[in-house]
Amino acid sequence: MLFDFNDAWPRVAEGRYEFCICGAGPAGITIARKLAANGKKVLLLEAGGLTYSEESQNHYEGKNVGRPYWLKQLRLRYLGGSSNHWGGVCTLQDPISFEASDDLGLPGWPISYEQVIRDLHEAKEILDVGDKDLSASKQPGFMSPLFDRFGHAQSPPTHFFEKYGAELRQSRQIDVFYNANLNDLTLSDNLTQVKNIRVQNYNGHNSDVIASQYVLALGGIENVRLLLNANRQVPAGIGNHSGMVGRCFMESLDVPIGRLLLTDTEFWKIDKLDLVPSEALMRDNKIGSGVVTFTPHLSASGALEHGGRLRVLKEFIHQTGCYWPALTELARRIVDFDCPGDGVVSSTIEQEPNPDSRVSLTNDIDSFGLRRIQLNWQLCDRDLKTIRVLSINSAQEMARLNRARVQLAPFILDTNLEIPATGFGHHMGTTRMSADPRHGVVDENCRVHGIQNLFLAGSSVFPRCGGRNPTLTIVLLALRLGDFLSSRG
Amino acid sequence: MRDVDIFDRRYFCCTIAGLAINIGLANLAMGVEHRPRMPAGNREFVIINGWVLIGEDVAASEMTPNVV
Repeated sequence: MLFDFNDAWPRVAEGRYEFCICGAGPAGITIARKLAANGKKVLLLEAGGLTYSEESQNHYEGKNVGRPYWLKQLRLRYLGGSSNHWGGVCTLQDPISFEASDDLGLPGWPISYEQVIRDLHEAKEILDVGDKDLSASKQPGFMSPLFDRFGHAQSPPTHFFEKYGAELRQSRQIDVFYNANLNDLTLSDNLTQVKNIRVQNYNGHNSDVIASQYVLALGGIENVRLLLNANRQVPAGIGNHSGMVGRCFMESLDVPIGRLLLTDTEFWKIDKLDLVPSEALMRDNKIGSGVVTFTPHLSASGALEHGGRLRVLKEFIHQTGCYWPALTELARRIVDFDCPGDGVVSSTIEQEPNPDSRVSLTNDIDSFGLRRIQLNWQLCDRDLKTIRVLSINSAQEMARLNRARVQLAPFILDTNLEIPATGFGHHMGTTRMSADPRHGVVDENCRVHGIQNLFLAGSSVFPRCGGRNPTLTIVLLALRLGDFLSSRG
Repeated sequence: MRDVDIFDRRYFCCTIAGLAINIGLANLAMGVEHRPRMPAGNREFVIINGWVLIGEDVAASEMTPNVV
């Protein structure tokens, strides 16, 4: 059933719910459906409305004191959450991310890769990607020992409330209240259980909600905000026993590496080439993972947009003094006028967990009385090394295999220059999963350490991000949590 | 003297070819000064102005800049 909390706010206190899930994005909706399928009675709360509104979205305003970031624009606050602007790339974390690594300073995943992908078939159905193999493989015509072809699938993309809205409206097991803003959590006297939560609508009405188990699925930034704001009984915030709530904010780093001049027409009949590093390359260099993407310009429109068909070729000759392969490229363009000749190299790079990269609170209060977010997004030396090693090695492999010549951006080769990395809107790592409470916020079952009935869902629990798009892993972990909660209820 | 039809295909092709040769010579002159000395057949990587090349891309001597 679906209710507007602006009107039906007294009704929420009448229901008897085993589970209360806050946040109706991919994680929250997946967990709710899983629990309902197992016969559980679920309350699903969403702070936003049926569609986008500035009134709701303005609660994402915050202060940025680190690298440039768009706190308000890179997430969405209404039914379906950020799946409403999701690009649809589905991929798995790199298996090497699950291995113990001493050089990161923090432990990695406390669960195995096999445990995470246990419900892969079901997750693929949820995300509408069929049964495509998502593992890395060798790219025909690019037999490199250092790089493999990125394994991924493209979702339509699935907008969760568009797809599951009708099911939620008709469900007898799930009550969805939208315009329901979580603004406080109250713990039991011994501080080991959530006793109730307080929810407020846009008209100023509050209601206390009681359930047996609570799940926060608010996103990688808002999960932190709620835990830190809930400081009446625990001054440092709930779950913040080790000061880890909000720390290790990670993004998938979006870095423009450079441009390329194609030297093999036949090979580049593919739209683009996505490469991921081999395990050997990562191990030997002690770097993270990532995806390096080579995208040829479409010949007709691309040529006009980028200054003419021969611009890059002429610059190549002038800058290098090399006529081979340049002259063969020129001949090819005369013969094969409609083929692309150049393109761009971009990348999605793994950011390592770094405690100094963190989400905290400002003293600015929003209309619900919650302190707003302060983000201090920082990269560390290992992140910069990952960017440079993957860039240089992929460019070298292009030349060695004679598929293209790559011109790297100046900041790749000159370590004195700052790398202009931005993010993709993947907010990860801020309530990281760790078996040891000293190094994380939740345990291997996504339960907040020390709180028996409070769970966190979404990419905030990722202890490493692997340089991969997180949505499929978010859904996989949500299915796993749904199963775990079903067994407890 | 007969009229020259500048849209005649042969005339047009010859003009383009002449231009191409001149542009090529000009580029050659520009390129030689930037060119590092690398032995022919070299598979080492070299970076020139950000371009990642292999030794075979660049010239073996100043007089033969197009060695493969």
